[in-house]
Amino acid sequence: MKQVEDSEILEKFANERTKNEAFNLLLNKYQQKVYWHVRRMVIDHDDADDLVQDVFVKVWKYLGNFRSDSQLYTWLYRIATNECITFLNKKKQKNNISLDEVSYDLADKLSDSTYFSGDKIQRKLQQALLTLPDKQRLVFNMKYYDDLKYEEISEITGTSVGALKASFHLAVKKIESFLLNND
Amino acid sequence: MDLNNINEDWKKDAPNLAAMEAANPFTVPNNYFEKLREQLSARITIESIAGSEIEGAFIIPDGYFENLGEQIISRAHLEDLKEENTGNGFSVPEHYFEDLAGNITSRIKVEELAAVTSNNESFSVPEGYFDKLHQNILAKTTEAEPAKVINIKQRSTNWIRYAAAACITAMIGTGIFLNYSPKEDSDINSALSKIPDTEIVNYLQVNSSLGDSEAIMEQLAETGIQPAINNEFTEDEIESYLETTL
Repeated sequence: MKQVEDSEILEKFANERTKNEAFNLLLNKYQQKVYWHVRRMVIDHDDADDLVQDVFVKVWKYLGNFRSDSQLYTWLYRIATNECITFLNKKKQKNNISLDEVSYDLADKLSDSTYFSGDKIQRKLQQALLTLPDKQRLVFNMKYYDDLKYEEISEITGTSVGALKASFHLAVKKIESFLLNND
Repeated sequence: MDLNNINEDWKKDAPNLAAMEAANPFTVPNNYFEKLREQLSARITIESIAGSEIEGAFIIPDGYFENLGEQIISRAHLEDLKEENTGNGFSVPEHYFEDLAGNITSRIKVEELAAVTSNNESFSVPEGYFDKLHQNILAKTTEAEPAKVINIKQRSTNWIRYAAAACITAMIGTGIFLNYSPKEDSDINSALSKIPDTEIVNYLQVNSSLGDSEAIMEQLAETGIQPAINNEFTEDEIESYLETTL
Protein backbone atom coordinates (compact mmCIF):
# COMPACT_ATOMS: atom_id res chain seq x y z
CA MET A 1 0.00 0.00 0.00
CA LYS A 2 1.48 3.27 -1.10
CA GLN A 3 2.18 5.63 1.73
CA VAL A 4 0.57 8.98 1.36
CA GLU A 5 2.91 11.94 1.26
CA ASP A 6 3.15 14.26 4.24
CA SER A 7 2.46 17.22 1.98
CA GLU A 8 -0.85 15.71 0.90
CA ILE A 9 -1.83 15.11 4.51
CA LEU A 10 -1.04 18.69 5.44
CA GLU A 11 -2.88 20.08 2.44
CA LYS A 12 -6.00 18.10 3.18
CA PHE A 13 -5.84 18.90 6.86
CA ALA A 14 -5.82 22.61 6.00
CA ASN A 15 -9.16 22.21 4.20
CA GLU A 16 -12.07 22.02 6.62
CA ARG A 17 -13.97 19.64 4.39
CA THR A 18 -11.10 17.15 4.16
CA LYS A 19 -9.69 17.64 7.62
CA ASN A 20 -11.04 14.38 9.00
CA GLU A 21 -9.84 12.48 5.98
CA ALA A 22 -6.36 13.93 6.42
CA PHE A 23 -6.27 12.96 10.05
CA ASN A 24 -7.22 9.40 9.23
CA LEU A 25 -4.42 9.28 6.69
CA LEU A 26 -2.02 10.57 9.30
CA LEU A 27 -3.13 7.92 11.78
CA ASN A 28 -2.72 5.18 9.23
CA LYS A 29 0.80 6.32 8.51
CA TYR A 30 2.16 7.15 11.97
CA GLN A 31 0.05 5.70 14.76
CA GLN A 32 2.11 2.48 15.13
CA LYS A 33 5.41 4.28 15.03
CA VAL A 34 4.31 6.69 17.68
CA TYR A 35 2.84 3.88 19.77
CA TRP A 36 6.00 1.77 19.84
CA HIS A 37 8.10 4.81 20.56
CA VAL A 38 5.94 5.49 23.62
CA ARG A 39 5.55 1.84 24.59
CA ARG A 40 9.26 1.25 24.75
CA MET A 41 9.53 4.14 27.18
CA VAL A 42 6.64 3.39 29.53
CA ILE A 43 6.61 -0.44 29.13
CA ASP A 44 2.96 -0.88 30.18
CA HIS A 45 0.41 -1.11 27.34
CA ASP A 46 -2.37 0.79 29.15
CA ASP A 47 -0.04 3.65 30.00
CA ALA A 48 1.16 3.71 26.41
CA ASP A 49 -2.43 3.70 25.15
CA ASP A 50 -3.31 6.76 27.23
CA LEU A 51 -0.20 8.63 26.17
CA VAL A 52 -0.66 7.83 22.49
CA GLN A 53 -4.19 9.20 22.57
CA ASP A 54 -2.95 12.32 24.29
CA VAL A 55 -0.30 12.70 21.62
CA PHE A 56 -2.71 12.48 18.71
CA VAL A 57 -5.26 14.75 20.35
CA LYS A 58 -2.51 17.35 20.52
CA VAL A 59 -1.64 16.61 16.93
CA TRP A 60 -5.24 17.31 15.95
CA LYS A 61 -5.19 20.60 17.84
CA TYR A 62 -1.86 21.93 16.64
CA LEU A 63 -1.24 20.36 13.24
CA GLY A 64 -2.70 23.48 11.70
CA ASN A 65 0.17 25.44 13.22
CA PHE A 66 2.83 23.05 11.94
CA ARG A 67 5.43 24.79 9.81
CA SER A 68 7.08 22.56 7.27
CA ASP A 69 10.54 23.52 8.55
CA SER A 70 10.93 19.96 9.81
CA GLN A 71 9.67 16.59 8.89
CA LEU A 72 6.18 15.72 10.00
CA TYR A 73 7.26 12.56 11.78
CA THR A 74 9.99 14.36 13.74
CA TRP A 75 7.32 16.78 14.90
CA LEU A 76 5.16 13.82 15.95
CA TYR A 77 8.08 12.14 17.70
CA ARG A 78 8.81 15.37 19.57
CA ILE A 79 5.31 15.51 20.94
CA ALA A 80 5.40 11.84 21.88
CA THR A 81 8.82 12.21 23.54
CA ASN A 82 7.68 15.14 25.62
CA GLU A 83 4.60 13.25 26.71
CA CYS A 84 6.71 10.29 27.82
CA ILE A 85 9.16 12.43 29.77
CA THR A 86 6.32 14.30 31.43
CA PHE A 87 4.64 11.01 32.33
CA LEU A 88 7.75 9.54 33.88
CA ASN A 89 8.51 12.73 35.82
CA LYS A 90 4.97 12.78 37.19
CA LYS A 91 5.41 9.18 38.23
CA LYS A 92 8.46 10.11 40.24
CA GLN A 93 6.84 13.16 41.79
CA LYS A 94 3.58 11.41 42.55
CA ASN A 95 5.18 8.52 44.35
CA ASN A 96 8.07 10.58 45.65
CA ILE A 97 10.58 8.03 44.44
CA SER A 98 13.99 8.26 42.80
CA LEU A 99 14.84 7.57 39.24
CA ASP A 100 16.22 4.16 40.20
CA GLU A 101 12.98 3.30 41.89
CA VAL A 102 11.09 4.30 38.79
CA SER A 103 13.23 1.89 36.84
CA TYR A 104 12.44 -0.86 39.32
CA ASP A 105 8.77 -0.09 38.97
CA LEU A 106 8.96 -0.33 35.18
CA ALA A 107 10.94 -3.52 35.42
CA ASP A 108 8.21 -5.01 37.57
CA LYS A 109 5.68 -4.05 34.97
CA LEU A 110 7.87 -5.70 32.39
CA SER A 111 7.81 -8.90 34.35
CA ASP A 112 4.05 -8.79 34.96
CA SER A 113 3.12 -7.57 31.53
CA THR A 114 0.79 -9.79 29.56
CA TYR A 115 1.85 -8.15 26.37
CA PHE A 116 5.54 -9.15 26.30
CA SER A 117 6.52 -11.94 23.95
CA GLY A 118 10.29 -11.61 24.05
CA ASP A 119 12.56 -14.39 25.20
CA LYS A 120 14.88 -14.34 28.14
CA ILE A 121 17.52 -12.41 26.31
CA GLN A 122 15.04 -9.80 25.15
CA ARG A 123 13.75 -9.42 28.67
CA LYS A 124 17.28 -8.99 29.89
CA LEU A 125 17.91 -6.32 27.32
CA GLN A 126 14.83 -4.44 28.37
CA GLN A 127 15.90 -4.68 31.95
CA ALA A 128 19.27 -3.28 30.91
CA LEU A 129 17.58 -0.39 29.15
CA LEU A 130 15.58 0.43 32.24
CA THR A 131 18.83 1.09 34.06
CA LEU A 132 19.55 4.01 31.74
CA PRO A 133 18.34 7.58 32.31
CA ASP A 134 15.14 8.38 30.53
CA LYS A 135 16.64 10.64 27.89
CA GLN A 136 19.48 8.27 27.26
CA ARG A 137 17.03 5.44 26.89
CA LEU A 138 15.10 7.57 24.43
CA VAL A 139 18.14 8.14 22.31
CA PHE A 140 19.08 4.47 22.37
CA ASN A 141 15.58 3.39 21.40
CA MET A 142 15.38 5.81 18.49
CA LYS A 143 18.79 4.80 17.24
CA TYR A 144 18.68 1.06 17.93
CA TYR A 145 15.05 0.24 17.20
CA ASP A 146 13.94 3.07 14.84
CA ASP A 147 17.28 3.50 13.12
CA LEU A 148 16.89 7.25 12.97
CA LYS A 149 19.76 9.46 11.98
CA TYR A 150 21.41 11.57 14.59
CA GLU A 151 20.24 14.70 12.78
CA GLU A 152 16.66 13.51 13.05
CA ILE A 153 17.11 12.58 16.71
CA SER A 154 18.61 16.04 17.22
CA GLU A 155 15.45 17.63 15.83
CA ILE A 156 13.33 15.50 18.09
CA THR A 157 15.21 15.95 21.32
CA GLY A 158 16.65 19.38 20.71
CA THR A 159 20.06 17.98 21.55
CA SER A 160 23.16 18.41 19.41
CA VAL A 161 24.33 15.58 17.23
CA GLY A 162 27.61 15.27 19.14
CA ALA A 163 25.83 14.95 22.46
CA LEU A 164 23.56 12.37 21.02
CA LYS A 165 26.49 10.33 19.75
CA ALA A 166 28.15 10.46 23.11
CA SER A 167 24.93 9.53 24.85
CA PHE A 168 24.37 6.56 22.59
CA HIS A 169 27.93 5.43 23.11
CA LEU A 170 27.57 5.44 26.83
CA ALA A 171 24.23 3.62 26.60
CA VAL A 172 25.77 0.85 24.54
CA LYS A 173 28.55 0.34 27.06
CA LYS A 174 26.17 0.16 29.98
CA ILE A 175 23.96 -2.34 28.25
CA GLU A 176 26.83 -4.55 27.25
CA SER A 177 28.10 -4.52 30.80
CA PHE A 178 24.63 -5.45 32.12
CA LEU A 179 24.31 -8.30 29.66
CA LEU A 180 27.65 -9.68 30.63
CA ASN A 181 27.20 -9.32 34.36
CA ASN A 182 23.60 -10.41 34.75
CA ASP A 183 22.17 -13.78 33.94
CA MET B 1 35.42 4.63 19.87
CA ASP B 2 35.38 7.21 17.16
CA LEU B 3 32.19 9.17 17.47
CA ASN B 4 32.23 9.90 13.83
CA ASN B 5 31.91 6.20 13.10
CA ILE B 6 29.74 5.48 16.05
CA ASN B 7 26.98 4.19 13.90
CA GLU B 8 29.02 1.07 13.16
CA ASP B 9 31.78 0.98 15.80
CA TRP B 10 29.48 0.33 18.66
CA LYS B 11 28.96 -3.18 17.40
CA LYS B 12 32.60 -3.84 17.89
CA ASP B 13 32.47 -2.44 21.38
CA ALA B 14 29.29 -4.34 22.29
CA PRO B 15 29.36 -7.67 20.55
CA ASN B 16 26.72 -9.24 22.76
CA LEU B 17 24.38 -6.42 22.06
CA ALA B 18 25.22 -6.48 18.38
CA ALA B 19 24.50 -10.21 18.29
CA MET B 20 21.01 -9.67 19.49
CA GLU B 21 18.30 -9.10 16.98
CA ALA B 22 16.78 -5.66 17.23
CA ALA B 23 13.34 -7.20 17.48
CA ASN B 24 10.34 -5.74 19.21
CA PRO B 25 9.57 -7.85 22.25
CA PHE B 26 6.34 -6.07 23.05
CA THR B 27 2.86 -7.03 21.84
CA VAL B 28 -0.56 -5.38 21.81
CA PRO B 29 -4.12 -6.66 22.23
CA ASN B 30 -5.87 -7.97 19.14
CA ASN B 31 -7.14 -5.25 16.79
CA TYR B 32 -5.67 -2.62 19.07
CA PHE B 33 -4.64 -0.21 16.36
CA GLU B 34 -8.04 -0.40 14.62
CA LYS B 35 -9.75 0.39 17.91
CA LEU B 36 -7.20 3.08 18.62
CA ARG B 37 -8.27 4.88 15.50
CA GLU B 38 -11.93 4.81 16.54
CA GLN B 39 -11.13 5.92 20.06
CA LEU B 40 -9.06 8.76 18.77
CA SER B 41 -11.85 9.90 16.45
CA ALA B 42 -14.35 9.90 19.31
CA ARG B 43 -11.97 11.62 21.66
CA ILE B 44 -11.14 14.29 19.12
CA THR B 45 -14.82 14.94 18.60
CA ILE B 46 -15.26 15.36 22.35
CA GLU B 47 -12.21 17.57 22.56
CA SER B 48 -13.51 19.69 19.73
CA ILE B 49 -16.78 20.26 21.53
CA ALA B 50 -15.50 20.57 25.08
CA GLY B 51 -12.41 22.54 24.33
CA SER B 52 -13.87 24.61 21.59
CA GLU B 53 -12.27 27.96 21.26
CA ILE B 54 -15.13 29.20 19.18
CA GLU B 55 -16.76 32.10 20.93
CA GLY B 56 -20.35 31.50 21.84
CA ALA B 57 -20.07 27.74 22.45
CA PHE B 58 -21.93 28.62 25.60
CA ILE B 59 -24.02 31.76 25.44
CA ILE B 60 -25.13 33.83 28.37
CA PRO B 61 -27.55 36.76 28.33
CA ASP B 62 -26.16 40.25 28.05
CA GLY B 63 -25.25 41.77 31.38
CA TYR B 64 -25.64 38.45 33.16
CA PHE B 65 -22.72 38.77 35.49
CA GLU B 66 -23.42 42.44 36.16
CA ASN B 67 -26.91 41.58 37.43
CA LEU B 68 -25.98 38.32 39.07
CA GLY B 69 -24.96 39.90 42.37
CA GLU B 70 -28.22 41.78 42.78
CA GLN B 71 -30.24 38.70 41.89
CA ILE B 72 -28.43 36.63 44.46
CA ILE B 73 -29.02 39.25 47.15
CA SER B 74 -32.70 39.52 46.25
CA ARG B 75 -33.01 35.78 46.31
CA ALA B 76 -31.41 35.67 49.74
CA HIS B 77 -33.82 38.29 51.09
CA LEU B 78 -36.72 36.37 49.62
CA GLU B 79 -35.58 33.23 51.36
CA ASP B 80 -35.39 35.15 54.62
CA LEU B 81 -38.94 36.41 54.16
CA LYS B 82 -40.13 32.89 53.50
CA GLU B 83 -38.65 31.73 56.75
CA GLU B 84 -40.28 34.59 58.64
CA ASN B 85 -43.74 33.99 57.21
CA THR B 86 -45.09 30.65 58.32
CA GLY B 87 -48.09 30.89 56.03
CA ASN B 88 -48.00 31.57 52.35
CA GLY B 89 -50.81 34.14 52.49
CA PHE B 90 -53.22 31.98 50.56
CA SER B 91 -55.99 29.78 51.90
CA VAL B 92 -58.14 27.03 50.48
CA PRO B 93 -61.67 25.91 51.27
CA GLU B 94 -62.15 23.49 54.10
CA HIS B 95 -61.37 19.87 53.27
CA TYR B 96 -60.11 21.00 49.86
CA PHE B 97 -57.18 18.69 49.66
CA GLU B 98 -59.12 15.78 51.08
CA ASP B 99 -61.72 16.17 48.36
CA LEU B 100 -59.28 17.03 45.62
CA ALA B 101 -58.41 13.46 44.74
CA GLY B 102 -62.04 12.48 44.44
CA ASN B 103 -62.85 15.55 42.37
CA ILE B 104 -60.05 14.83 39.98
CA THR B 105 -61.11 11.22 39.62
CA SER B 106 -64.69 12.24 38.92
CA ARG B 107 -63.63 14.78 36.37
CA ILE B 108 -61.48 12.25 34.61
CA LYS B 109 -64.41 9.87 34.39
CA VAL B 110 -66.64 12.60 33.05
CA GLU B 111 -64.12 13.53 30.40
CA GLU B 112 -63.66 9.90 29.45
CA LEU B 113 -67.39 9.49 29.15
CA ALA B 114 -67.63 12.63 27.07
CA ALA B 115 -64.90 11.36 24.81
CA VAL B 116 -66.76 8.10 24.33
CA THR B 117 -70.09 9.72 23.63
CA SER B 118 -68.61 12.32 21.32
CA ASN B 119 -67.43 9.53 19.09
CA ASN B 120 -70.90 8.03 18.97
CA GLU B 121 -73.41 10.58 17.89
CA SER B 122 -76.73 9.96 19.66
CA PHE B 123 -78.60 12.17 17.24
CA SER B 124 -79.23 11.39 13.60
CA VAL B 125 -80.43 13.30 10.61
CA PRO B 126 -82.30 12.23 7.49
CA GLU B 127 -80.28 10.90 4.67
CA GLY B 128 -78.91 13.62 2.49
CA TYR B 129 -79.98 16.29 4.94
CA PHE B 130 -76.84 18.34 4.89
CA ASP B 131 -76.69 18.20 1.14
CA LYS B 132 -80.19 19.65 0.87
CA LEU B 133 -79.70 22.06 3.69
CA HIS B 134 -77.29 24.08 1.69
CA GLN B 135 -79.72 24.37 -1.19
CA ASN B 136 -82.63 25.25 1.08
CA ILE B 137 -80.75 28.04 2.70
CA LEU B 138 -79.81 29.48 -0.63
CA ALA B 139 -83.38 29.22 -1.86
CA LYS B 140 -84.59 31.21 1.09
CA THR B 141 -81.94 33.82 0.97
CA THR B 142 -80.07 34.79 -2.15
CA GLU B 143 -82.41 33.06 -4.60
CA ALA B 144 -85.71 34.14 -2.98
CA GLU B 145 -88.10 36.44 -4.96
CA PRO B 146 -88.15 39.99 -3.87
CA ALA B 147 -90.95 40.74 -1.45
CA LYS B 148 -94.00 42.68 -2.65
CA VAL B 149 -93.60 46.32 -1.90
CA ILE B 150 -96.71 48.07 -0.54
CA ASN B 151 -96.90 51.85 -0.46
CA ILE B 152 -97.12 52.71 3.19
CA LYS B 153 -98.33 56.29 2.48
CA GLN B 154 -101.60 55.15 0.75
CA ARG B 155 -102.47 52.74 3.52
CA SER B 156 -101.89 55.30 6.17
CA THR B 157 -104.16 57.84 4.32
CA ASN B 158 -107.12 55.37 4.23
CA TRP B 159 -106.71 54.62 7.91
CA ILE B 160 -106.97 58.28 8.81
CA ARG B 161 -110.22 58.65 6.90
CA TYR B 162 -111.83 55.79 8.71
CA ALA B 163 -110.72 57.11 12.10
CA ALA B 164 -112.11 60.54 11.42
CA ALA B 165 -115.52 59.17 10.45
CA ALA B 166 -115.63 57.09 13.60
CA CYS B 167 -114.87 60.08 15.79
CA ILE B 168 -117.60 62.23 14.31
CA THR B 169 -120.15 59.49 14.70
CA ALA B 170 -119.20 59.03 18.33
CA MET B 171 -119.49 62.73 19.05
CA ILE B 172 -122.96 62.98 17.57
CA GLY B 173 -124.15 59.91 19.35
CA THR B 174 -122.82 61.09 22.65
CA GLY B 175 -124.55 64.45 22.30
CA ILE B 176 -127.87 62.86 21.56
CA PHE B 177 -127.49 60.48 24.44
CA LEU B 178 -126.73 63.20 26.93
CA ASN B 179 -129.68 65.47 25.91
CA TYR B 180 -132.48 62.92 25.78
CA SER B 181 -133.94 61.01 28.77
CA PRO B 182 -137.89 61.39 28.65
CA LYS B 183 -138.85 58.11 30.03
CA GLU B 184 -136.94 58.57 33.18
CA ASP B 185 -138.70 61.87 33.84
CA SER B 186 -142.15 60.36 33.21
CA ASP B 187 -141.39 57.48 35.51
CA ILE B 188 -140.46 59.82 38.39
CA ASN B 189 -143.59 61.97 38.03
CA SER B 190 -145.91 59.02 38.00
CA ALA B 191 -144.32 57.66 41.17
CA LEU B 192 -144.55 60.99 43.04
CA SER B 193 -148.23 61.47 42.10
CA LYS B 194 -149.14 58.40 44.04
CA ILE B 195 -147.58 59.80 47.27
CA PRO B 196 -149.84 62.17 49.33
CA ASP B 197 -148.76 65.76 49.41
CA THR B 198 -148.65 65.97 53.22
CA GLU B 199 -146.09 63.17 53.35
CA ILE B 200 -143.97 64.90 50.76
CA VAL B 201 -144.01 68.09 52.78
CA ASN B 202 -143.15 66.36 56.05
CA TYR B 203 -140.27 64.51 54.30
CA LEU B 204 -138.89 67.67 52.89
CA GLN B 205 -139.05 69.42 56.31
CA VAL B 206 -136.95 66.66 57.87
CA ASN B 207 -134.53 65.98 55.03
CA SER B 208 -134.35 69.17 53.14
CA SER B 209 -131.06 71.04 52.77
CA LEU B 210 -130.52 74.72 53.09
CA GLY B 211 -130.98 75.40 49.38
CA ASP B 212 -134.21 73.54 49.16
CA SER B 213 -136.28 76.09 51.15
CA GLU B 214 -136.90 78.41 48.27
CA ALA B 215 -137.76 75.54 45.93
CA ILE B 216 -140.16 74.15 48.52
CA MET B 217 -141.93 77.49 48.97
CA GLU B 218 -142.43 77.86 45.27
CA GLN B 219 -143.84 74.39 45.03
CA LEU B 220 -146.26 75.06 47.89
CA ALA B 221 -147.37 78.28 46.23
CA GLU B 222 -148.24 76.40 43.05
CA THR B 223 -150.16 73.66 44.77
CA GLY B 224 -151.91 75.92 47.30
CA ILE B 225 -150.78 73.89 50.20
CA GLN B 226 -149.97 75.88 53.26
CA PRO B 227 -147.76 74.13 55.76
CA ALA B 228 -149.22 73.81 59.21
CA ILE B 229 -147.55 76.22 61.48
CA ASN B 230 -147.08 75.01 65.02
CA ASN B 231 -148.58 77.62 67.36
CA GLU B 232 -146.35 76.49 70.19
CA PHE B 233 -143.25 78.37 68.76
CA THR B 234 -143.00 82.06 69.57
CA GLU B 235 -142.11 84.65 67.06
CA ASP B 236 -138.66 85.01 68.61
CA GLU B 237 -137.99 81.33 68.22
CA ILE B 238 -139.10 81.40 64.68
CA GLU B 239 -136.99 84.43 63.96
CA SER B 240 -133.89 82.85 65.51
CA TYR B 241 -134.44 79.71 63.51
CA LEU B 242 -134.64 81.65 60.30
CA GLU B 243 -131.44 83.48 61.11
CA THR B 244 -129.60 80.27 61.58
CA THR B 245 -130.92 78.48 58.59
CA LEU B 246 -131.06 81.20 55.97
